[in-house]
Formats: sequence, C-alpha cells, structure tokens
Amino acid sequence: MTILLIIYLLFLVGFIVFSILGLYHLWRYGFQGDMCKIVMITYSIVSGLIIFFSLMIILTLNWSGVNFPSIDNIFPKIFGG
Amino acid sequence: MIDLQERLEKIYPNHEPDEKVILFIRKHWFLFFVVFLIIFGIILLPAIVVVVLIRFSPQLFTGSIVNIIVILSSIYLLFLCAAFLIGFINLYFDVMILTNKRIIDINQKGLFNRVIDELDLLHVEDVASRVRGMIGTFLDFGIVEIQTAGTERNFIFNGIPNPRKVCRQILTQYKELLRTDEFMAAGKINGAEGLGHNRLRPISHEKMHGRPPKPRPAIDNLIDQENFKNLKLQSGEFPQIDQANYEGELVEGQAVDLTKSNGNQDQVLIKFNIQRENLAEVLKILPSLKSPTINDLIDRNYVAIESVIKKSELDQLLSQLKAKGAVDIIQSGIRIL
Repeated sequence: MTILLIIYLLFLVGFIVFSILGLYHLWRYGFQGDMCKIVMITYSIVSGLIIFFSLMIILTLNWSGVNFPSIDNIFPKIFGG
Repeated sequence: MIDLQERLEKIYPNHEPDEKVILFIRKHWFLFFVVFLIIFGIILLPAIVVVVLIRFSPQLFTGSIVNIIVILSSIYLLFLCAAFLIGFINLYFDVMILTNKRIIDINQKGLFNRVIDELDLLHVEDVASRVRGMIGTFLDFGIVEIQTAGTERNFIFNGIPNPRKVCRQILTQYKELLRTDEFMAAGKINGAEGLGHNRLRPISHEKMHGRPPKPRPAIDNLIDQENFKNLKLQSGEFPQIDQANYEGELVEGQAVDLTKSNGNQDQVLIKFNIQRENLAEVLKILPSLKSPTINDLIDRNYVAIESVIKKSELDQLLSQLKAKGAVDIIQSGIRIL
C-alpha cells in the first residue's frame, strides 16, 4: 500500500504543476470582466477541496498491515460466497 | 467595463496603431454547457455505481478496499478537474476578432499550442454563415466561413453566436475599408491576390512602391512647356490616317452583320508604353483615326498609348517608336464597325 500512497503523492505534485500552468494561462490571456477570474477561483476551490478531503480521509484510514486484496478475496464478498 | 482595445493589446500586441476592434467573439455558451454536462455526467456515473454497491454489497467496502477507493476517487476527481480546465481553456481562448483592417483567428489547443492566423479584410472573397440542427437554430449559433482569395486557406469559425450578424458585420467592415483613403485603390491587379469585385482595381502607388507618387505634370502642360504647337489634345490635330483609302467601311447608326465582316485587314491596333517625358515626341509621329488614346499607368512615369494605324506603316512606325523610347509594344487586328 505504500507504493499506492507514493503514486498518489506524485500524482498530486503533477496535478498541482498542471494547475499552476493552467491558471497562469487564464491569468495571462484573461481580461477584466470576463469569465477567467471566476473559473480560476472555482477551479482552485474545487480542486483544493478535493485534495484536502482526500488527504483528510487518507490520514484517518488505517494503513498499517493493509495489502492489496486479491480478486479471490473481492468476488466472494460481492457474491456472498 | 470590457475594453476591446485592451483585449486586442493583450492577445495580439503586433496590431497596427490605428487598428480598432469591431467584434470580439468567443464560442457560444452552449458549447461550454456541453463540456460542463459531460464532466458532470462522468462524475455522476461512478458515484451512482458506488452508491448501488454500498446498498447491495456493503461488505465490499471494508478493509483495504476502502483505502484504494479513496485514493482512486481522489485521482479520478482531480483528473476531471484538469479535463474541465483544459476544456474551458480550449473553448474560451478560441477567439475571433474582427478589426477595421483584418480578421484574427486565435485557436487554442491545450495549454501550449496556440495558433494565431490573421486575414487582411481585403483578402475576403466571400462570407457565409451556416446554422445547423435544432439546438443551433433555437439558440442561434453556427458556423461562419470566410473564403479567401488565392491559395490562402479559408477561415472557418465554429460555434459562433449570431453568425448572420457576424457575416453582415464583416461585409460592412470590408466596405468601410474600401472607402478609406488608404485602401481606396488598394485592390490587387494580380488575379492570385484579386478580391472579388475589386479584383481589377489597381493597387495604390504607395502600397506598391512604399512611397507616395511624385507630382506629375498634366499632359496639356507638358505639351505646352515643350512648345509643341501642333500637338493639342483635340480631335483633328493629330497626324491622321487617310480614311478614304481604307478598304474597311465605317458604319454608324445601323446594325452590322458581324458574320459578313472579315475585319479591316489593312489596319492594326498598336499599344505601347512610353515615358511621360517622351509623350509629345511620340504623338508627333503617331497616326490615328481621330486621336490616340492615352492612359495613365500605375507607374506615374509612364503612359500607355493606343492607336489604329495602317498596316503598311507599321514597320516604319515601329522603328520610330522604339527610337523614341516606346516599350511593351503590342499589335493586334481590329474590326471597325
């Protein structure tokens, strides 16, 4: 499970870099009175909230001794077998 | 307050100083709504699946699966946020700008691909608007297609609100441009650069040579200055062909059967260009029916002359004309009606 957390953190870094570039675009080519400012604020708030709540939930979960479940472990749970 | 000039300055800083923005058009709002709807649907679909699974198989969401679902959900939602941002930038920064001199097409593809095409309004050959489908008809958006002259690519703008008004505005601006002094005579002679009805209008001297034309003397003044007493631009005072010796018959005021005419075999039309300063000398020796036709060339130093002469005189006249500096000499057969 540690590998999953590392992948997630790397994804977050990539996402933040992408977001900065995207927001820069909006700021660079946006104008006073157009929708760019609204989108910048909305995007920042929504993606910030997603990251915040994801991290909050991840931190509250128990990660010690958790392993990837096998397909055999999943299907009996679904079909009650 | 939205300042269109400020927008042009920011988006297209290389514009000309006296260039004014007439229209600044983004895509129709419905296209943004479609992107929003798609992303909202993509968010909703897995959420519904998860709710259904929790309802019917709550035991599935225990242990390590919850951890994985949380991380995957987070990645999924952030991906959608990024997709929304790219979708918005792609649509919002696709802009069509109509100025009083040109049309600018800004095409944004992703974050790092931005193509700016511009089209001189004088190169507009034809403008067409197309509204397709029920939604396009109700919400009044569609395609504006601008056909350009020559080998330049056509400009096609999709999702433009009020396409008919936009077309009308382009044509209005085009006509306005033709009325301005700068472009009064700025059509192209060359067919490859020609423009619809103004295809045959001469290009302005300043545009062609990069400098204003030199002041030129009037033809009458030129002749007076050089004391050519016998050369006035009046009928009958030029060396004339003896019409009595023509085999061809001059017909006035009656219908002519062209099929019976073989043309005037002993007469030819000659055309040539000559430097303005040599005009008087040439007129002195040039025969004609009434008087030679003299036209200005775009190059103000030259004039074009055409006249009907006897074929038998052609050889002698040609050598005389060449001696006087005549260039671009053309001869063609004629038919006098």
